[in-house]
Amino acid sequence: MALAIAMLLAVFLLYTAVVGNSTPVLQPSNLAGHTGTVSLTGEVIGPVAGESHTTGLTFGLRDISGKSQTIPINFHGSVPDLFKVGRHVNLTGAMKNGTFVATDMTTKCPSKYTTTNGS
Amino acid sequence: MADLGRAALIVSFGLALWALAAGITGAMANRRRLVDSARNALIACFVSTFIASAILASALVRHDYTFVYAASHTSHDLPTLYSLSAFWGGQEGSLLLWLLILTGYAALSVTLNKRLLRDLIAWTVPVFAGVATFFSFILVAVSSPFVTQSRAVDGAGLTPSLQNPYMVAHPPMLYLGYVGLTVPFAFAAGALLARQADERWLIATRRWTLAAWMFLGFGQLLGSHWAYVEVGWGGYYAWDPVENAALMPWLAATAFLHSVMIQERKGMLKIWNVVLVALAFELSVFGTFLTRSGVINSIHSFARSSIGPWFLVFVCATAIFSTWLILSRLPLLRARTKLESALSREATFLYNNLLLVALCLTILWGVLFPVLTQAFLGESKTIGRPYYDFFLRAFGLPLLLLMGIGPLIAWRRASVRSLIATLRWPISVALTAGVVLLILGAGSSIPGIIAYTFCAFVLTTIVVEVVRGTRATGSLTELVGRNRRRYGGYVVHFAIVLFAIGVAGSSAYGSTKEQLLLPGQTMSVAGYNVTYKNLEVEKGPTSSETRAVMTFTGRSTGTLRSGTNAYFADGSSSREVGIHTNWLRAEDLYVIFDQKQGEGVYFKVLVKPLVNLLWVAGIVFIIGSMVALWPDAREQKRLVARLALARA
Repeated sequence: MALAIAMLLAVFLLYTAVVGNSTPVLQPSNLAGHTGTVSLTGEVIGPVAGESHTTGLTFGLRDISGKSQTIPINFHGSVPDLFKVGRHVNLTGAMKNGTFVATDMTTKCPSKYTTTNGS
Repeated sequence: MADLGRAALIVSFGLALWALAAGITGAMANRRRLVDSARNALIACFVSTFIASAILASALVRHDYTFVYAASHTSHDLPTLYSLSAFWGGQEGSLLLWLLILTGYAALSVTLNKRLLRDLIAWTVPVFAGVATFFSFILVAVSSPFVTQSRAVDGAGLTPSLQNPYMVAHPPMLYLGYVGLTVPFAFAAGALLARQADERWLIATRRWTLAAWMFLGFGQLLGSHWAYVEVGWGGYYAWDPVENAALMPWLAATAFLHSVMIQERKGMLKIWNVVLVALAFELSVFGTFLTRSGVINSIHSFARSSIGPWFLVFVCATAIFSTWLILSRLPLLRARTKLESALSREATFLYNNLLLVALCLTILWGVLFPVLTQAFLGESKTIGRPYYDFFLRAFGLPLLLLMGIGPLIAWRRASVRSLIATLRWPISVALTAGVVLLILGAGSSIPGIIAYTFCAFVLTTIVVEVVRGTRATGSLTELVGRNRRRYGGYVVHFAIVLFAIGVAGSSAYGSTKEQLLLPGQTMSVAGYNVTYKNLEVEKGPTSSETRAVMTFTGRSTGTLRSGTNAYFADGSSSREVGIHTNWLRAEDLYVIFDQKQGEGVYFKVLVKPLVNLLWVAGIVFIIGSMVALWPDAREQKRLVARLALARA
């Protein structure tokens, strides 16, 4: 039985290593050098402009700690309800000509569980 | 009042500590008075925790803003029900609820079993007390719900999307489930500590485990339904770490509920069962840790809080304790019989267990992946939906098949020939269903058609079983009454089949389309023609409500509204999806108001076939669990007799 479990463990180790499309989770400060699809977490910096269904929504993103340069974002897709300047968001996309082009965005829900800076 | 609450919690902590210390001393020295004293302290601990909880609840309902907790989770305009639900709206209250449910379960289960299992209870009490000591310590010293302040004008209130009946019921359901898994753990650990590793602890806790498992399962489904109708992205499960945190102990408990039957009947899998019970308990504490510590990025975004390290210590301590306990009692856990054939009911139950645990560990691996990659590779990585979906199919589909075979295959040793004879109806129905579905075009998704075929197979086995049983006994009620556990199990299996059909239908055969519509324009999605008529803006009590009026024709005809609410209070907005349910097909037409663009609106329209079977499955699941839970004198007698035989 232990053998069977060990084999199953090996299967998903193998899967995640070979087939699994694991995505690096980054903040703007350690984005440099990554060319593939990554998951980027940070704080939204204004101004927010453009239109997410046509030209793309543009805004800036920096580390949640606030200590990093701001990266320009171009987002295409459905903007979550809770998106606004100052919110923490998670984007999926890749760098293209100095702009991070994202197609998927989730906001961290400011649920009743959160206590940090009252958001 | 806050002082009284604080005092009540200190009393709880003292009582739990006494129950722990006196319980261990009493049990080791075999001193009955100390053992009784520890048990009474545990019961009294429930009383004092109840007083503390009542004080907090009353402060929330009265909007007493001298309580920081009330000020940060309620406001004057919040209805009473939601003010009460703020009890589990924050960390401190949630922890208090944990302790309240834990001591409640402990007091009740210990009292009910004190005669039957006297020698075992002596050690069960300190195990409960150990867990209660940890939680009451956190509540007294680290994260108190009774912190006070000078009176504030109005409270911060509750996020609009959480002011919803689902969010009133979902968290306490989950807690009833999470915490309930402590009961089998405490009795199993008590039995091992007392070196009484017979089946009594299993029999004493069967219903408790079943109840906890029912709450945990139903609680998750409530959460899914809330996400589906309220959050409005069109899905019901996102494999988010916090969702997974509830799914993992449920899977472990599901495995346990099945493997106990093998131990009761055959005296096998004893080690496996204590491992499963410990795993389910660990995962439930780990789940609480996960949701509270902020170590893993989740859309649920619970703040990074001070209790994380404490929980980590507790998880490690209980894991070390469980491992030591099981290893040191291995000789007591020797099986009475051996597995005779790989083709037998025992063996199918074992396969079912391996698959459930494998699925559980796969999810755990996915949840921990970011932490592990950070630790070993120096860069955090996540694994997303494809990983989970792959393993859900790889392990879930065989599980579905086993659900049909397991209850029908012979004990000890079966032959392929006899198995095929038993299953001739289910096999022919499943094959026919598969062919018909292929002709109807369901072949567009291979996993989908496999799932459907397996579902037809399981469904037929259940029908065959019930028909055969009814013929033998003469009446259906008599049949179910005679063996509630077995037929309750079939009802739950039926619920799982409905669930599987719902998941397969809505994910493998769903359609999605996004389009900009001007008033009067129409878009077509999967047999529906949806027309955007006009926009209505109304001023509601708390928000400005924008609604697009849509009509649709095709598979069914009608009107629906989809839009957004802009809340006055904090300027936030939320999408309010429009859902039309076509009950004949159990299908939803799901319209998301994505964004306004001049005169037009970007709509996202989803057609989700069979999705409503998920919610129907939830109700069937509860009914089945209740049937299996219902007290049954005959079954009890049978078990006691079997037990006497086993101990002789």
